[in-house]
Amino acid sequence: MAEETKVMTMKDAISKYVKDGMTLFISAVWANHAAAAAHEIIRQGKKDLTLIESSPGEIFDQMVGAGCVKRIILSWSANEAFGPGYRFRRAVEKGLIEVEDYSNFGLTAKLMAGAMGIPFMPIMSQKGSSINEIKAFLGENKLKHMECPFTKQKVTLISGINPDVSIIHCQRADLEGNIQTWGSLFSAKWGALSGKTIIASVEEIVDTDTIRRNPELTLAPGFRVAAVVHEPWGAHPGHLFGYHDDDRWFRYMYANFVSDDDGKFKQFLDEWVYGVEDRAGYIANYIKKYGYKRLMRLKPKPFYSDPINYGTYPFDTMHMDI
Amino acid sequence: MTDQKYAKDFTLPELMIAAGAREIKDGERVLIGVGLPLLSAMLAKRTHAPNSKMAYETGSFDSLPSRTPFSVVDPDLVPRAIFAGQLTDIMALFLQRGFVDVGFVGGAQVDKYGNLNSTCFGDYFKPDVRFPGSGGAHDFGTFAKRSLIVMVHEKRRFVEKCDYVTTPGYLRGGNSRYEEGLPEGTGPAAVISTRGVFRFSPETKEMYLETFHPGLTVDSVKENVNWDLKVSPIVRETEPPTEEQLRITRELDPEGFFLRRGEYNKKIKAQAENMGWL
Repeated sequence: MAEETKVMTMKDAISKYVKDGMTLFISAVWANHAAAAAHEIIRQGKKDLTLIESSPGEIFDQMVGAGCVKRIILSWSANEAFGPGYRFRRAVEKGLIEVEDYSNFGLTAKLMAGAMGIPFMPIMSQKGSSINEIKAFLGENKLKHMECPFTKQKVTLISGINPDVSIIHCQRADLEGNIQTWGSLFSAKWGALSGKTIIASVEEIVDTDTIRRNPELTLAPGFRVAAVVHEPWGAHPGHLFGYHDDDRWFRYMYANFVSDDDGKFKQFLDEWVYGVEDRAGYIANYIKKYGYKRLMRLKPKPFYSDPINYGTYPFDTMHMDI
Repeated sequence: MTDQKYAKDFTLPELMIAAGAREIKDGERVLIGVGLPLLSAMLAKRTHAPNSKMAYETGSFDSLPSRTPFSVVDPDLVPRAIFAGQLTDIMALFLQRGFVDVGFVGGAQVDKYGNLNSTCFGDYFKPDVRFPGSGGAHDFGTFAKRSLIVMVHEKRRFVEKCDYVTTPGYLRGGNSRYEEGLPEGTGPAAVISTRGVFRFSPETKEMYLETFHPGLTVDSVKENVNWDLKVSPIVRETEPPTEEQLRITRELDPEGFFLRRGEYNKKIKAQAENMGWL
């Protein structure tokens, strides 16, 4: 067991690592959906943030509506099939925030370049589009075109990015900050690893032996991770594989009856963000309002994969005893 | 399918879902986004294309969902899937390498060469309306052998030139798409709108009307297009869904989330008010 622990509260993690004006990756695509962190950022009144994520949903919408955001680098923003993200939409239409658009591939390639420590990523996508022609606040640093020096093909070079802080919600971590996740990751891996500092909220804190028995699930070893926050239901109303399902109902309500209504939106923040201390308070409010049964319906029934054989290997490899 | 009876009583979304399903051939790999295309792909798999395989940009491939996903990030797309990875796996290892046959894309505006706008109406920096943006659409439209455009048909959406090109179609027609460096053997195959099904001339790459939906006429479709729309010499009515297609489509969406959105919205709203949702 480690002597030092990276475990802290979300309040402490955000106030220690997130400063006004920073660039943040926050996993907001519902896969590894870092909702608890986004709400804490709103509660602490962070300002002038630049956010980056490939296809953010309602937590970016809420951060925009709460006035935390100056700029967004993205590919897509809405509440998926549930409806448009109206806070985002209106803010762009009124010129309250600036956006820089990529395709999902382009945006994720940008994070991947940053994560790998290279200044750009060549991709064969984004050609023949306004995405490549129209550059907003990144200007000439958005991307370049070039002819491949080997094949003479046209290539798009996507500039890399290293956000000041990357925030992600995962299944589990140990006290040393080794974080593990599974499922379809969308852009979460490159988003998390591109960060200069990584904050991970997790559903469970486990011992290091559990991490070591499944090393392929490790997204980032502890040396990359600054803070771990134990935050059950941290992705709600998004999902986390094996822990909780999307709360389709809650998300439908937000997209259709809250996002486009100034009064309702303010009421939403007052109730679900400012009106609670932390994620535990948020979940307590959910149970109080809608009942424990509705919450527990979001727990998936277990479906375990088969254990795989990694093998153990003997110290004596010359087999002289035979 | 010819030996099957056509359904008589169906809605516009049900017609469009069947039209989308018919575009998918057995054994093809299909990339899908949110909404009606998801139902088209699931319908195809349950009827004439049982060996088609769906990929989702989230990272899943060949899933066996036990429910109709509301979204491409539905967690149910992971358990029992053949592959669960991440966006760059699907985009780079599948799509960019040319292993995807069909990609469905939506849009707010389309022009006569099938270029699509899903970003904004008006100026990018001062948009009249801001839409969600590309998402995976640009990448699907770039690399899929055949992209299928599914969209609402209003006159202001079928334009001579898009305000913003999110997803390239045939650019300026002719060979211009490939001269720009987009892969040979790719491009939009059809537009399935709320008024008809459109295809593209093999030479000029200009869009033409192939079929109009039941109850409409060639002229009523042409009136809702902002250029002089060409019409197939064998233009006809869009093939209705068969009874089997219709039954399966409805089974896929028993609550009406996709098929009867207005009614669904009312039902949920009433429940929300009862439960004191805000």
